[in-house]
Amino acid sequence: MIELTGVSKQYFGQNRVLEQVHLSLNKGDFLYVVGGSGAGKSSLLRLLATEETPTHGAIKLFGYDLQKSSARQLRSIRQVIGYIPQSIQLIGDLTVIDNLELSFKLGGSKITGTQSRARMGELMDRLGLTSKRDTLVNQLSGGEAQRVAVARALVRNPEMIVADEPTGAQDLEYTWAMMDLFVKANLGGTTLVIATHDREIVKRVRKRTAVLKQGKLIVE
Amino acid sequence: MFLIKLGMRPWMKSTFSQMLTGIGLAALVSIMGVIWQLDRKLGPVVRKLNREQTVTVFLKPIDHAKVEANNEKSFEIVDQIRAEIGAKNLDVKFTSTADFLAETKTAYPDLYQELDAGGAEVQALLPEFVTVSGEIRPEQIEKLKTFEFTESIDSSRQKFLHAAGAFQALRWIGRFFLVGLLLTLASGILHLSRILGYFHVESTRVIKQWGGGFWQLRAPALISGLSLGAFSSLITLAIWVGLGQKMVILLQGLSPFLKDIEVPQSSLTVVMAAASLFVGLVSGWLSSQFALSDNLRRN
Ligand SMILES: Nc1ncnc2c1ncn2[C@@H]1O[C@H](COP(=O)(O)OP(=O)(O)O)[C@@H](O)[C@H]1O
Ligand SMILES: [Mg+2]
Repeated sequence: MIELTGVSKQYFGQNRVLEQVHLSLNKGDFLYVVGGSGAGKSSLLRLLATEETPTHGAIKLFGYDLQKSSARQLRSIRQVIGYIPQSIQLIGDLTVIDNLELSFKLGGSKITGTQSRARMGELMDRLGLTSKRDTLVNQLSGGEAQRVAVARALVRNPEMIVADEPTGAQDLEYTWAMMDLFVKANLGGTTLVIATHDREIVKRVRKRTAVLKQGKLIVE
Repeated sequence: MFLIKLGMRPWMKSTFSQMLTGIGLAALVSIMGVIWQLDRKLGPVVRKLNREQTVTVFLKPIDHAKVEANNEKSFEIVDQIRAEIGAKNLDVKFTSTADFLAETKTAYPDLYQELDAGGAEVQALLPEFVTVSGEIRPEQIEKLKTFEFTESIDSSRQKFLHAAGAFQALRWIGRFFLVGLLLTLASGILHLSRILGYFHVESTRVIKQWGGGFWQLRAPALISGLSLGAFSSLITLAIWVGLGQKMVILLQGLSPFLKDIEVPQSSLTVVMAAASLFVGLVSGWLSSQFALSDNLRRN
């Protein structure tokens, strides 16, 4: 379902961040991407989330070759991805609930309004956001905003969740609440790719792990 | 819903500059409309002043001796002028001493009384003349000079030439301003679009990442532009409804030649308001492109 072949990434005027990366994931897979700071985790996840394009190599998502896909195909790929970027990327001038609704509506989901409201309510409850429902995202703390980003990815029931250090700004309670939600989504068939440097979660929720080192991806 | 919220964001974030921009656009569009109308209305006036003239052919006083033949003679002269200068569209009119006196009586009663008191002696000094009015070519004027009954010739064109020139100058000054204002408007639209575009860069990026379609990507910026255009078009409407009549009265006062200029019809007011709305729409579209182009650079 997800196929990276010989993928390299080089930012302008720099050494290669990713070097000949090969990766293959099936529907329902769960993969951790670990590696030190600056190892290229975010670069890899940005490629998976279609936020950036590779310098070399091919990426296939849900049967579409990214380089060859039309704007329409690219759009339908993005509609089934739940992306939690390291830099959050919420719309600051919208409320928490509006940001969640955006994800839901743009996803072209077939779920009814009532179901989606129930789902949003549940997610906000689990992530401690219920009291912030109508707060502008600009006025949230970093940790709260990160939880909104997680809820935004989960609310559309995506085919794949690409999470870039989603627990980075969380205390233990929310870290495990998040992991619980991720595992549940995974059991429902969602593919998960989580970049993290938190050894604790990798140890406690044991899944396939890939290590990024000097641009190479080694899947254990 | 969130698209509308995003679109209306500039109004929330910078209410004052939005309103000022809307008013400024309305003023700009309205002034351009006034100049455009001025040009349109002055055109025919200038053309008329340039082409149409009334040539007065003063007749030699010989005819006064034979008063009884006067009436006949007048027809003869008129016919001769008609025939020889090819005056198809020209209005040729004979004014005898008696006609002249009659006209004086109504127009200048005081002068008439003097002339009347002076009797036949004074009246004999009054000129008789033929007026030829319409679009007269220079060679036709030359021909008029050659008739044996012609004493002298006076052309109204010489009289109104300065007026025609002044109006024509006014038109060109107007056009010059119009070009300047057009450039101002264009640069205004461009800057406005950039600023509105920056307003939407972040949210456009998010909408794109989350799978927004063509219109979803452009809706916020379009709504921003259109709402500004709608506001500005209301102001334009107010300007034209409120000041249109005043402007026309001022214009009419400029010269008696302009007294026929009409008050702008409601259709023109609607056109001006629509122009303001259109400016908003263009800004909206451009700003959506700006908002997108920052993203497109990435992929
Ligand atoms: N947009 C960018 N432009 C240039 N260099 C970048 C950019 N993003 C990341 N890099 C560089 O690529 C390397 C890997 O970054 P990143 O993928 O963020 O690593 P990680 O997420 O593992 O910390 C870093 O050295 C960083 O400086
Ligand atoms: Mg990173």
